[in-house]
Amino acid sequence: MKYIYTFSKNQRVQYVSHLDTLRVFERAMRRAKLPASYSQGFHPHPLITFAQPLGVGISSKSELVEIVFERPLCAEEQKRFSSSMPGGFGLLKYCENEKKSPFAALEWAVYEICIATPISKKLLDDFMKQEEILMLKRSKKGEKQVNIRPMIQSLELVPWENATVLKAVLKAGQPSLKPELLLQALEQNMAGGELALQSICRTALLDGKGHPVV
Amino acid sequence: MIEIEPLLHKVQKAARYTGGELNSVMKEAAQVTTRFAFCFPDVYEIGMSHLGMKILYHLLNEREDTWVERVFAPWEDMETEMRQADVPLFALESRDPISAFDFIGFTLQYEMSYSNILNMLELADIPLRSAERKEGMPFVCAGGPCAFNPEPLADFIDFFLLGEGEEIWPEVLDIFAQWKASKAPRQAFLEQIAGVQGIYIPAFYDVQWDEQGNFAGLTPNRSDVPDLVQKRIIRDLDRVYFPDKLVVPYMEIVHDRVMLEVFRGCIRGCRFCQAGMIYRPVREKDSATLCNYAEKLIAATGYDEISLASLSTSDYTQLPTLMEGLLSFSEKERVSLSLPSLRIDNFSLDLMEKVQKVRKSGLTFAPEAGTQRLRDVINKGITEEDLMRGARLAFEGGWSHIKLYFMIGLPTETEEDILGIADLAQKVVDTFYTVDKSKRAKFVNVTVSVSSFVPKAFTPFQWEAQDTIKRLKEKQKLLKEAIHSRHITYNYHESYVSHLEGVFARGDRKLCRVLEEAHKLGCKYDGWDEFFVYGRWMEAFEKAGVDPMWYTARKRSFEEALPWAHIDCGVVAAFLRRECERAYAEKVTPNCREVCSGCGAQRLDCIEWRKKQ
Repeated sequence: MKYIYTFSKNQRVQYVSHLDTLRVFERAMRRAKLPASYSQGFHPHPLITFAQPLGVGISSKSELVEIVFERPLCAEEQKRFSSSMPGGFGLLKYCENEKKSPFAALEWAVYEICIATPISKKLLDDFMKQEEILMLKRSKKGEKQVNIRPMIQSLELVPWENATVLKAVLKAGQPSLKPELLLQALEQNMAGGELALQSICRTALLDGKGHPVV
Repeated sequence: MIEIEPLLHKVQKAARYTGGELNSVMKEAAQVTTRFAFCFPDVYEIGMSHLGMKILYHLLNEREDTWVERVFAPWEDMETEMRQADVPLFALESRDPISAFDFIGFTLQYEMSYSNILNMLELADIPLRSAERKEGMPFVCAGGPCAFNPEPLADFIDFFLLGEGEEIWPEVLDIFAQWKASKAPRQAFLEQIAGVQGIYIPAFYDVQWDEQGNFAGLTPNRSDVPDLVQKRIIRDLDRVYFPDKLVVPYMEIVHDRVMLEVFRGCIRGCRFCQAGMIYRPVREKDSATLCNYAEKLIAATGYDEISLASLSTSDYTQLPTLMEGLLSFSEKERVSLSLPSLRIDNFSLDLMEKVQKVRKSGLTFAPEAGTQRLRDVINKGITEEDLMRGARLAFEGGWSHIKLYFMIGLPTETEEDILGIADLAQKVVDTFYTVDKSKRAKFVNVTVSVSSFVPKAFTPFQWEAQDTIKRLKEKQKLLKEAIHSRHITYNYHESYVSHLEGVFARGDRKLCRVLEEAHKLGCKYDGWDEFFVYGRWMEAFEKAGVDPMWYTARKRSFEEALPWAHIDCGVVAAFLRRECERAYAEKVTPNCREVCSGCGAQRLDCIEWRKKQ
C-alpha cells in the first residue's frame, strides 16, 4: 500500500540534508513499528521516495514523500507515525495512492525568501524583463552556463513587517533552479549590492498548470 | 540563548550546531540548581559516537536538579564565524554561553585533543588556568582514560575524576548542591570534594623538581587529601544505570548505531595496552539485561544496527546466549548486528555468517607483531597457527579481504621482527591459494596497517624509550621494501603525531606551559592530519623551554619518580614491573581466567579473583 505524506521541516531542522531526511523517516517508521516494504537485492532498504530534494538551509511547509507499506495502515498507526517524527518535522496530511506517482507532474516550486535588504519593485521588473539571464550552474558534471530566465515563472514582493519577502516561483523537477542561484543573479543586477539573506521557505510544489501536485 | 542562525547559513554541516535531536533533553534553566556543560574536545560526529558521554548525559539528566548539555569543538569554519561575530561557545540544547554554567566537564579520550580543550575554554571566555578563575566562574573538570596521567593538564583543570563517572558524579553533584545553597567561597567546594574517592585536585598537590629541573615527585600540600588517589568503579554492572534512550543525531556520525556495552575491563593483559590495564577488573553484564536494553534502545531510537562494545568481544562468557537473544528479535525488526573485536575461530565465523547475511566485508586480525618472539614480549597470546587457521576459515567462508594490524617500535624489536610482518602477510596470501577454488573468492587482498608504538602510563612498558621519528621512518621503509605482492596493501601513519602523543602520554606538569604556547600558536585538532603542524609544536616546546625528547627517547629506570605515581588505577606498579621483566624474558603471562597474576585490581573487587578464592 502506497501513501503520500505532506510534511514540514522547520528552521531548526533546515540543515538536515536530503539523505539525512531519508534516515529520519526510516528511523521514525521503525520507532512507530510500521510494516515498511523493502526493496529487493543485497541491501534492502525501505521504499521511500521524495518528490523533490530540499536544499540544505531551506525550511518547508509542503514537502512530499511517497512510502510503500506491506499493507494498509490503520488510523492508529498513522497517528503513531506522526508522533514518532522528531522535533522540527511534522506530518501534515496523508493520502492513499493507488495510481502511479504524481511526482512526475512536478513543474514548479514556490519559495518565500526573507531578505533584510530592501528591494524595489522596479529592480524586479527590470530583472524579469531580460530575455536571457546567464548564470554558472554547478552540477556533478562540473560548471556550465545556463539561461535561468525560463526557469523563473514569477517574482513578487510581499510586504511583511520590516523585512522583504520575495515570493518566487521557480522551476522544479528536472532541471530545477535553486533559490540561492536566483539571489546571486539578483545581486549581479544590483549595483554592488549584497542581499542579506535571512531565511528561505518552500511553501508549495506545483504541476504545470499551477495546481498543487498532491 | 544566543542568536546563531546567521552563522549557520555560512558554515558546512550546520546540523553539528543546531541541537534539537530526538531524545536530547530540554529543561527550564531557572528550575535547576546545576548546569553542566559536557564537553567533548573534538567535532560533533566524533563526540556523539562516544558511549561514555551518552551514558553520563542521560544518567545525570535523570536528576531534577541538574541539566547536562552537550558541547563539541566547533569546526574551523564555525570557529571563524563565531570569533568574527563575537559568539561565545554555547551548549547545543539551550544555546546559552557555557561561561555561565556550574561545570565544564571535558572527557579525555586521546592526548591529541588537549589543544582543543584550551581552544574551547578560550572560545567560552573562561580563563585557561585554574588559578585565574574567580568566584562565580564554572568549575572545569575532566575524566576519561587520559585523566590517569593528569599532570600535562594540571594547571587548567580544577579537578579530575578517576574511574567510572556513574559512580563518582552523583556524589559530587550532591555536594555541589549543598555548597551552592551555602553560598560558601569557591575554594570550599574543592575542599569538600577533595575527600571523595576518585577526585584529584592538582592545586592541592605540589611537584618537586630536582636540580636539573626534572620531575622528582609530587606530594599533597595539605593534610586532608590522600597521598594516593584511588579510582572508582561500578561493582555490579547489571544494577548500574544504562540509558534506555539515546540522542539520535540528524546527521551521520562515526558510530551511528546502538552500542551495547557487554563488559568492562579486559582479561588479556597485552603489555602495550593502557585500556587493558586501567579499566580492570573485568565486570560483565548479564545477557538477559543486555537483550532487554537492546530491544528498548531500538524502539527508542529507530536505529537499524546494534554493535557490541567491549575491549574483546570473544571474551564475553555469555556471548552465545546473548547472540541467540539478539538474533531472535533483530531479524524480524530488520536490525543488523555488528561484532567488533572478535577472535577468529569456528564459533565467531559461524556467528558472522549469521549476522552478516549479505555482504562479506573485510575481516580484521591484530597480531600486533611480526614474530612469535615479539608477540610473546608484548603478551599478545596469538600464534601464527591461530592466524593461519583463522585466515583459512575466513577464505573458505568466502571472505576475500583481510586486514592485519601491527605496531612498529615495540621494545626489543629487531629487523627480523619488522621483516616478519611482511612474511606473515605473505603467508596469509599464500593460505588463500591453498583453499579450494570452489570455496574461495575470486581475488584476495591483505591490508597491512602499521602504527607506531607509544609507551603509555600504567602499562608494563611505561618505563620504555620510544623510537625516534627517524628510527620509525627507517623501519617503515624497511617494511615497505620487504613487501612485494600485489595482493598486499601497506598502510602506515606518519610518526610525528605518535611522537607528540608519546610526550603527553607520560608527561608532567611542565607540559602545561608547552600546551599554552602551542595554543597561542594556533594548534588545534591535532588528531586531524589537515590541522596538525609538527613544526608549530616544536616551536611551542622551544618557547616553553621544555625538551620533548626527555619524555620519549629515554629509557626510565624502575626507581625513577613517575608523574602519575600518585594515581591508583587498581593495577599496581609492582605488577607492571614484574610484567616488564617477563617481557624481556619473552615469557607469556596467562589471562585472568586461567590464573590470577595479582595485578592489584582485585583490591577493587574482581570477580575472576573471587572465583579463584
